[in-house]
Amino acid sequence: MNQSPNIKSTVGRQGSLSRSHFNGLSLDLGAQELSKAIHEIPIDDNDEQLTQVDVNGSAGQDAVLMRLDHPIRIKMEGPLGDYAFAFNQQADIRMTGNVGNGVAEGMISGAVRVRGDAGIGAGAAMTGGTLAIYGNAGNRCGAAMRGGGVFVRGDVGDDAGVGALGGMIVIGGDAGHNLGDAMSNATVFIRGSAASLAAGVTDAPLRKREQLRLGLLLINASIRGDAKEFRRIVPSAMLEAEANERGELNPNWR
Amino acid sequence: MNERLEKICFLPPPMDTPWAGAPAEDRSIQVQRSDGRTVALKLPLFWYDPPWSEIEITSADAIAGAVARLGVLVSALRSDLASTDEETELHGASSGEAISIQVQAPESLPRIIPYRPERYGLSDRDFDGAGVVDVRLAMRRNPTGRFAYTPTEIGRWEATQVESPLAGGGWVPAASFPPDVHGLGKLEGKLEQLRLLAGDAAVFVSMDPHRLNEELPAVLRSQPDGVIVRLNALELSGLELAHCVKQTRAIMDEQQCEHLPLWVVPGAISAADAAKLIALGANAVAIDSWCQELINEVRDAQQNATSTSGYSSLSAPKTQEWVDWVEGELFRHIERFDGLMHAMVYQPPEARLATLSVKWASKLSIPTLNVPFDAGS
Repeated sequence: MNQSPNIKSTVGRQGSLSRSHFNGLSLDLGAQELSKAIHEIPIDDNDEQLTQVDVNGSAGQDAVLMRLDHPIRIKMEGPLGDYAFAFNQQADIRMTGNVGNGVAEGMISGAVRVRGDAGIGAGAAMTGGTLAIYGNAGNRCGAAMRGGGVFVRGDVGDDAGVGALGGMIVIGGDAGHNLGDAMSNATVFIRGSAASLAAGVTDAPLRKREQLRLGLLLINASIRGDAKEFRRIVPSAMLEAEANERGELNPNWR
Repeated sequence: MNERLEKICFLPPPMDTPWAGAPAEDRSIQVQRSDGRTVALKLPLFWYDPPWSEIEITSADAIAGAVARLGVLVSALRSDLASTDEETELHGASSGEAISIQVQAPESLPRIIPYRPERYGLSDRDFDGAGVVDVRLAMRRNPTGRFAYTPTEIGRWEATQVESPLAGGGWVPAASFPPDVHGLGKLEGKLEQLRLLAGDAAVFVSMDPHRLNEELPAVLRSQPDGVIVRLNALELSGLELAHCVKQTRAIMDEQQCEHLPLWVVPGAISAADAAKLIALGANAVAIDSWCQELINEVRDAQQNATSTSGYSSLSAPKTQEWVDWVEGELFRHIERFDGLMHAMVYQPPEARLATLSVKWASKLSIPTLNVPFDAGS
């Protein structure tokens, strides 16, 4: 697995902008070599278009492409195993196929777009960036989030947003039981219905600022939809604080 | 310092043992990762759960660094010890000759990452240069007894504006199990992921002892690089503590995990107790009670400027003065432990401990002393 990566450079055209495009990176290199090769790819001078690299050979593997910190677009085919793209920064990853548990755990910035379903704990403990799942997500989606946004076009399982301290979870379909349990300063937007809300969270009207935030997330996730179709799920204490015009976060919630 | 295992004594060599010189001075321990890599640590002592949020952040950083320089593994996140953009003493300082970690970056001090289920405060940079990742599968109680984190802890980990603290400044519930793991049966994959994230660290699982007979075999099946048992979660007598260590080791041996390190968190102990626990089967021992004295001193001094601890005279925390102060406080414990460990090597492992008590001897399978009087119970 110590072979040097064989990166073939091609130039493609998209619109009026040129895009650098690297083919042929494979996980057969070994995870460390692949990560090193990706970080060595030069960045396009054009801020509007990320350099793109196709990664293959990853199907079925666990812990794929973790701790990337490089402004680059990566395309890959799934399915992937557990803990893909953990603790990534800057990278814009677009994959087709299902992912296992804990996709984008601890993501710091950048984006992960999954054209498939995700297992449990999608986006767990992420602090920034956007995770978009264009299928369904399992239980505990967005658990312990501290920032960033998770978008699930389809349904999510039970306990979505459990323990989330911050950030935004957008659910295009329905949610399972106990939505928003132990949530602090996070907000859930849901288009469908929830089997049950956790104690201490409630439905709330969508304010202008949330409509704006949600609209931006929908755009970032390349999702068609109108923010007005969604309802907001927040801790009751947060809503009370809003109603009392004492700021969103006072008084003490527990 | 409370001697919990005072009924046990160290057995010296028989009187006719030839003088063969002192054994080599080496108390370092080696931990083998499941991928074959080795992590070497200078001392079998660690600070398992420092209450960093009880003291100011700069003081916490200085104490963590100073304790680690003595060779003690210190558990801390970057966010425990510094704000986002700052480097910490523990995470970035030169270690000098204090440690000899073979596969870590040479500048790393011995450090444990507390990988809690919900990962509040954890950053990707925590993985760099760590000696041990501690996957904590035990819920955390705050001082009120709740399974929760205090507002001070959350405030330390997650930077928010003073006027708008998280959860309105209330407590935040602690998680029971990593939300992205499908039960104990799938824990192995999480541990494997952590070995990749922290390429120089051994990955341990720490657990409560309440259901040890059922849960320890399940944890062992996930193939951790070591196990930490939080015996301080029970109010154990000295005999119960010693017996629990011995039995835990036996369970691990029965599960074909003879090679796997058993680290224990015993609660308040003396230096002699620490050495005895190692002789009973532990591979490393938490010394939180010794280090808590440091925290108490600093906290009291910060709360009361007239304290006689001398803290208030230490104007520049990250200085040699801090290291000297911590050394002075901790060194007597560590030196005593070190000495007893050195003396134990004169005897083979099965002949290092004995007791006057028939009850203790029977429970722990150690010899009774052959003396012409009855020691009672």
